[in-house]
Order: sequence, then C-alpha cells, then structure tokens
Amino acid sequence: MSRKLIELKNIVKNFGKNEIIKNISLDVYEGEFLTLLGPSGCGKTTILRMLAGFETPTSGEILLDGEDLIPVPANRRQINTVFQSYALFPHMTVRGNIAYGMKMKHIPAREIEERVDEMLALTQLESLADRKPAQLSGGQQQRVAIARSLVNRPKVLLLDEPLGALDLHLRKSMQIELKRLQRKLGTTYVYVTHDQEEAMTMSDRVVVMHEGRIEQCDTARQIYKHPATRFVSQFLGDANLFTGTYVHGDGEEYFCQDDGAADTYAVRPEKIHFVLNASKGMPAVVTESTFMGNVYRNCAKLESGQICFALDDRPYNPGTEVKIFFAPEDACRV
Amino acid sequence: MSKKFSGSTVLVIILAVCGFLFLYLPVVVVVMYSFNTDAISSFPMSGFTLKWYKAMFANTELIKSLRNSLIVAFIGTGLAILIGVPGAYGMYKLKFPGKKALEKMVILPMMLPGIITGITILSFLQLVGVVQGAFAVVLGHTTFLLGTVLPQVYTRLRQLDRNLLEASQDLGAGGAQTFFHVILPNIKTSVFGAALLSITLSLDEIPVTFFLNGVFTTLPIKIYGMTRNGFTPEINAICSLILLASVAAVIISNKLSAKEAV
Amino acid sequence: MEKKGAITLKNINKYYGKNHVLKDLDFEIRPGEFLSLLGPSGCGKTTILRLIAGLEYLDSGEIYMDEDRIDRLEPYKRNLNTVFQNYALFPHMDVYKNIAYGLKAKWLGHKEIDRRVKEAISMVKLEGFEKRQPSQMSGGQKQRVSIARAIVNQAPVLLLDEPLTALDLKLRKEMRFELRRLQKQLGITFIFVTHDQEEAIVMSDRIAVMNGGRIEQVGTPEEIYSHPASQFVAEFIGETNVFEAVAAVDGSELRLRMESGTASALNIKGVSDNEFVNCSVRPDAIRLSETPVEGFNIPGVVSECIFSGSFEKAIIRLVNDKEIKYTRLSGSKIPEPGTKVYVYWDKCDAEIMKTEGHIVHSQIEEVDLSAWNN
Repeated sequence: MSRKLIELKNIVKNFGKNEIIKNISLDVYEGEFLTLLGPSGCGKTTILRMLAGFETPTSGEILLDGEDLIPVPANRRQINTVFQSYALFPHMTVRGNIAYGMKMKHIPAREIEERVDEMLALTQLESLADRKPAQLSGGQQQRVAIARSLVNRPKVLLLDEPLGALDLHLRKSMQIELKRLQRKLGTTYVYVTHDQEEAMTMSDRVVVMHEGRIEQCDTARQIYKHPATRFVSQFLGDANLFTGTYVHGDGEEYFCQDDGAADTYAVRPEKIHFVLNASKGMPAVVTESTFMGNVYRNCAKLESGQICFALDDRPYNPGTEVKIFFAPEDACRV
Repeated sequence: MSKKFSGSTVLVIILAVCGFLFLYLPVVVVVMYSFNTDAISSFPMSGFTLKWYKAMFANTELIKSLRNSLIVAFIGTGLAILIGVPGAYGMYKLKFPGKKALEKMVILPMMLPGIITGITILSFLQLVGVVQGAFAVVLGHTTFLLGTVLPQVYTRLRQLDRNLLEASQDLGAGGAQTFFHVILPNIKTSVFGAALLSITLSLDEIPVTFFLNGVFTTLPIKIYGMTRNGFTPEINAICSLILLASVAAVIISNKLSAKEAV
Repeated sequence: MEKKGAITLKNINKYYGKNHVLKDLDFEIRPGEFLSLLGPSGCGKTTILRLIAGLEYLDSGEIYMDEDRIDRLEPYKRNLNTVFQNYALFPHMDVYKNIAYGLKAKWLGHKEIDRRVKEAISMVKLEGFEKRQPSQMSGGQKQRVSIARAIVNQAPVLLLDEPLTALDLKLRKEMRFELRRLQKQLGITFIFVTHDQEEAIVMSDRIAVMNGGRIEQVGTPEEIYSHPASQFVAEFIGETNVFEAVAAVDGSELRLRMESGTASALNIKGVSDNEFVNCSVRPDAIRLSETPVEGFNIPGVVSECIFSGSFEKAIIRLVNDKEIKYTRLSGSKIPEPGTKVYVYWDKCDAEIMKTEGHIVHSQIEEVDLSAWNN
C-alpha cells in the first residue's frame, strides 16, 4: 500500500462571491494515476491550479509529503503542469523547451544535455529536437509539453485536459502513450478531464466532481458498478433510473416499477435484457434501434411512459413487444 | 459566383483616391521642390539640383538643431522603454484595484493636446525648480512617449498565451528569469517597433518642446523659425530627409509587429 | 414546386493555391437523408460543405439542388441553411430575435414569423428561453438556438459543420440522438461534417468516408463497418485489427500465412495464389480459445485488460509482438492478463482487402510456433 503523497484537507475556494470549491478533502497516493472527472465548472481545474500554486485556497490545508504546501511559491514546488494549450515557448526549440526547467535551476550543462536526450528518446522526439513549436503538429506539441514537465522528475505531474484539442484517433493513441509513460516512470499523475471514457481507460482511481464537491472517489470499475449518487450513475457511463421496489413472488424477487416508491435504482444499459415471450419482467415496446458499430442501442417505452435503453449484440424492430429484465445484483440503489 | 463592379464600389474608389491625394500631394510637392533649381517654388520646375541639400548641410545652426532633436529622441525613447516595458509587464501580470482605470489613463499624455502636456509639465518643473532647457524637453518627451510605448507593449503582452507565464513559473523560474527568458524574447519586435515609432514622434514634436525648451532648439522649432523669416528651399531638403527616415521607420515598425503577431 | 432536397455534385475540383484539395468528386445526396461527410482533418469534407453553401468558388464542376444548378448562385440565393461549429449567434439579440432574423429578411407577416419561430423553439426544446441573451446560455443551449435559427427557414437542405465538436462529451452524445430525431421529424436533408466516426455511425443514413480529397466509400453505417472498402476505411471506422498475409487459394477458401501464424478466410474477392492481402477483423469479432481451432493457429498472451464502462477490452500480444484488440460487453468473461490463448474468428467476420501494390514486407517469414505452443 503506497503512502499518501498529497493531502487536501477541507479545501474551500471562493472567487469573489462565487463558491467554486465548497469543501473538499482528498488524498493522492504515490505512483497512482488519479483523475478528476466532472462537467465544466465543477471545480476540477481550480483544484489543479491550487496544487500547482497558481491559486491559493480560501481556507484549508494542502500537504505534500506531510509538509505544508500553500506557502511554497509555484516555482519552488516539485510539481509540474501540462497545460491544455501546451504553453510551449514559441521562441525556443524543442530541446530548449525541454531544457528550460533545469536551466532555471542552474543544473550543470552536461547533465542537462544527458537528461534532455534521454527524454527525447523516451517520447520519440529525437528527430524533432531542433524544430520550433510552430513547426510541429498538435500531437507532437503535446509530447513536447509532457517531456518538458517530466524531465524535471517532479513528485507529481498535473495534466489539465491535455488531449482536448486532438483528433479522435490521435487522442486514443496518446491515452495509451500517457499511461505507458506513467507506468514506466512511476510518476504520480493528477489528470483533469470531462471525458468519462478517457477517465475510465487511463486511471487507477477516479474522483467524480459536481458543483464544487466530490461525489465519489474510487476505481473506475467500482464507481461504474456501484455509483453512489444519481449524478455519478449518469455521468460515468449511462444509466437507466428506475423508481420502484423489489417484490417477492414465486420464490423470487422481481422489480415492480412505482413512481411513488422511496428507492431509485440505476441499471447500466448492457445489463438490461430485452426478452421476447417471457412471463416475468416489465412490459415495454421497442421504439428505436441504433447501430453503433460493435453494438446496437435499443430503446423501449415502458408502460409508465419512461424510455429505457439497452446495449445488445442485435437490433430489435421498432414496435416489437418485449419484457425488460435485469438481475438484482445489476441494480444499484442511488 | 462572379465579382461585379457596382455603383457603390466605384464611389468608394473615387473617395479613397481623393483622400489619398489630399493627404499626400503636399508631401510629394515638398520632395519635388527640394530638387528644384529655383529658390521660389514655381511650377513647372526649372531644373534638377542637389544644391539645397548641400546648403542644408552647411547651415550649422540647422545641423545643430537636428543633433539636439536626435539626442532628445533617443534619450526620451530610451527612458520610455526602460519605464514602459516593465510597467506594461507589471500591469499584465498583477491584479490590483484601479487597474482598469490605470489602463485608460496611461494613454492620456498621448491623446491630450501637446499644449496641455507642455504647460502642465512646465508648471510642475517650476515647482521643483528645474529650468527650461534640454533636460526639461527630455522629460516632456518621455512623458508622452510612455503613452506610446506602454499601451503597445501591453497590447502585445495580452496577445501572449496566458499560460506561458505560468508554465515558466511551473518549471522553476523566478520573476526576473521569467521576464528575461520567456516574456522579453516574445515581445522584442513589438518593443523595437514601439521604439522606432517613438523616435519618429519625438523628432516631429513641437507644442511640448515649445513650452520647455528655453534656448535649446530642436529641429522642428528651428524649421518653424525659418519659415517665419521667409521660406528657403533648404527646408524642403531637410523635410524630405526626415520624411524618408520617418517612412522607413514606420514601415520597419509595422513589418516587425506583424511578424510577431502569431 | 416542392423542393425535395437532393444535392448532386458533378466532377468537382478545388484548389487552394497549389493544393489539390478536392479531386474529381462525383456524388449524389438523396432527398431527406441524413448524410455524414466523415474523414480526418484536411480530407476536404468542410470544403465540400462550403462549396454547397456558396462560401467558396468551384474550380471546375457543377452543383445541383434537385434539377437546378446552384454553383453560380450567391449564398443567400441558395435555398439552404448552415449550422456552424461556433454557433455564430448574434450577441446583441435575444433567442427569439436570433431565430426570427432570417424570416424578417423574407418579408413574412408578423403572425407567420411568430408561428414559425415558436415551432422551431419547441422542436429544439428551448421553450421559455425566448428572452435570453446568448451570453447567458450554455454551449449546448446556444447550439440549439443555432439549429433553430437554421431550420426556421424551412429550406429542404441543412448543412452542419461539426456542430457538436465544442460540446462536453456527455452533452455531445445526447445531442447526437436529438439531432437525429429532429431530422426525422423535419424530413429534410441533413449534410453533416464530422471527424468523429462514432458520431457518424450513430446519426447517419449514409456515410461518405473521405481521405485526401477523394471519397473512399459511401454506404450505410452497417455496410461501411462490416465491409470496409479499403484499409483506410477499416481503420478509420471503429477499431480494427489488420493482419498482413500471403494468401494460398484452397477452393473457395483462402489459407492466410502471416507473421503471427495462420488463418482461414472466405475467398469472396477473387484473390489469387501468393497474393498479398490485408485481413481486417473487428475487436468484437475476435474470439479466444484455450486450444487451437481448426483452420487457425495464432497463439498469443493476454497482456492487458482495460475497463471501459460498458465494454471490457483486452490487448493480446502475438508471437511477432503484434498487439491486437479484443472487446466485449461488460459482464462477459475476459481472460486474465498472462493467460495463453489462441486467436480465431468466424470467417464471415473477416474483411479481406487486396493491398494494391504497396507491399510492406517482401516476404512474410513463417515464425516457428513450436516453442510457443508448448
């Protein structure tokens, strides 16, 4: 079990009258890939900026390795940031950009050259070392930004939606590259994104944020299987929400929809089964069947008027009468 | 889709041509007459000569005033840069109450009539016991040149990626390091362009200089004096030279600013 | 005369300076269909849209809407509307005025304008927002105003230039289904530009996949996904695994010899003996077995399992260090990393593509699999 590297305790941040961060406590463990996930405006970038030193919390503590981090100015923290706009220095070459941090700390020239060469090889930028940022593609600029941060061997690397500007295919391959780099070097990553697929693919743990608070913090798999709140169930992945109760009958439990009931359950679309000619299950009529490449997304309207959707290997003809069925262990109370 | 010459387009072209003629015809005339053999500005020209240029260089008083102007221009610009560039950077980087008001006030000396600037500085200098003369003129010029340099550099700074400053800090650079290694290289052509423009404006300047100069003569003041005593063609010659230098400066200044604006 | 909204492009060529951006394009868009122009940046998809809209000049060719030739007309004379990526809302007007703008220019009566604006607002589900200013609205709401403003003119063709790209992922996914429903409700032609293949698959009746100024394939999402015409299309749409192989003809089947092993396939495309081919198999069509399956000998080791919400993905490393992707719906059993597996697939699920002369390996060495199999 690795140790706590960063501790955020009761952080509150106000911008004027706006309460951006309402009260957050979070631990980041050494060597982990932690993602702050949430919609725009939820406060995730603000937390990143407080860790980097560009903002100061209104109240609360931040500890790095047990020591108070807030009084340390940004340029003295052993933390580096990869910005969404990359922020490469346009007047310096790739080599110059990567060497910058070490130069500012007055590290001897020979060591700088060695470490820059090492990083160029690691990020496959050797052939581009003498180019200026304007001569690089988006993906290449991205790698320079990462190289420039990692070469300083920071305790923590902060990444602020670094893949947002990239083409879909490039984004997917960069996700794999980033993850491999993190594993190889063992750096602790704190990653910010609004893209839940990205979060699930890359992270060890995900922190789901909403309006300045943490709704859930756990591995992606756990959050997906057991979402804590309605918001989480619909933000990380898709979910059908059913209000009702489980009723006993014929020696089994089955679900009975009832809008007045106290409990709401979230069920993932791939756990919803459309069954033809069944006796049990909620009756519904198929409204839509969309091809999505490797699966079909089938929608059906229940008697209550609610539309639920499922993912399946096969399409269903609109108008088909089906029964909606899901296993009790796949329904999570939220 | 094809382009058509509509009535409105023709009207715009005519107006534009007239405007250009109005602005530049006098200038063309001055340059033309600097080569005229006749002392009197007559049309058509009687001949082509360089004698007025020679006379100009022989006129020691005229050359002395040119030298004075250049001294004031360079020192004034130098001071405006030394104060204006860090000033613009401070405004860019820091947040403080009254920042918006300051942003607008900085251009004031340049926008105010020169007479007002001249009189106010004169009153202030008299208060602190500084006499009229070269020093006062330099002070006066620096004041309004700041109004050129600071806004230009500030505008350029605001075009920079905001994250550049933060990236530099993030990588371990202190304030001074960030300024010299990251900010300055990215604004240097704007600074150079602003400097060129300032020199041009300073060389040209009359009202502020008029109140502050005492017996220290600058070129425009000297030329003004000469015209009151009768127009000599040496004036055409020196004006043509100044025109050439000004045009060159402005063109270079524009090209540099455009190159940098990414 | 009722406009149907068919667009025909004949022999289109477009140059930007020396760049030959669109090359001899011939293409028909059917009335009332949702057609996506899909491709990477720079493939020319936005250029086509702009040519249809009249925002660019044609270098050669003709564009028709139904029977009428439109490429010589000014943009405002063409009976179509555009939705832009950055919304382009008039910042000084509220929602109602923004939507009504185009109608005012057409000299319609007050009552008619009001009726149409209200109809458009309810179609994009923005009831109650009539008096809002653009600055008070979120990205998704602004996009819907932009769409309402375009559809209120009731033109038979709507052009959409990557309208969802600026939105958050969650919102983008929701808007995809909303846009599709809107199109079906309106019954007009939508021409949709995107670089996101998932988006194109979910929304379109047909997709035109573009690359380097040419259209590589046109078809329904199912056709393009299951039967990609080229390696580019196979790799651009969805994820796929591509094997380079030498084919040996065996009756109506092929024996494929690859660096990573051997496989069988159906010889639908008339491949000849010793021809180099690419074999494309989707991650959801890859199957794993503990023992070799007849006709296949592709051993490998599961190197990584990735959780992706609705899907479980695995990466399998083959003998020649090639990595292939394996995807299943969440809940299916995926072997643990480190497990030795044999890869195979249903012969109908493999797409065989001739390599058309660009041969990557001059000779595909058959790797000694005996050590691996023990």
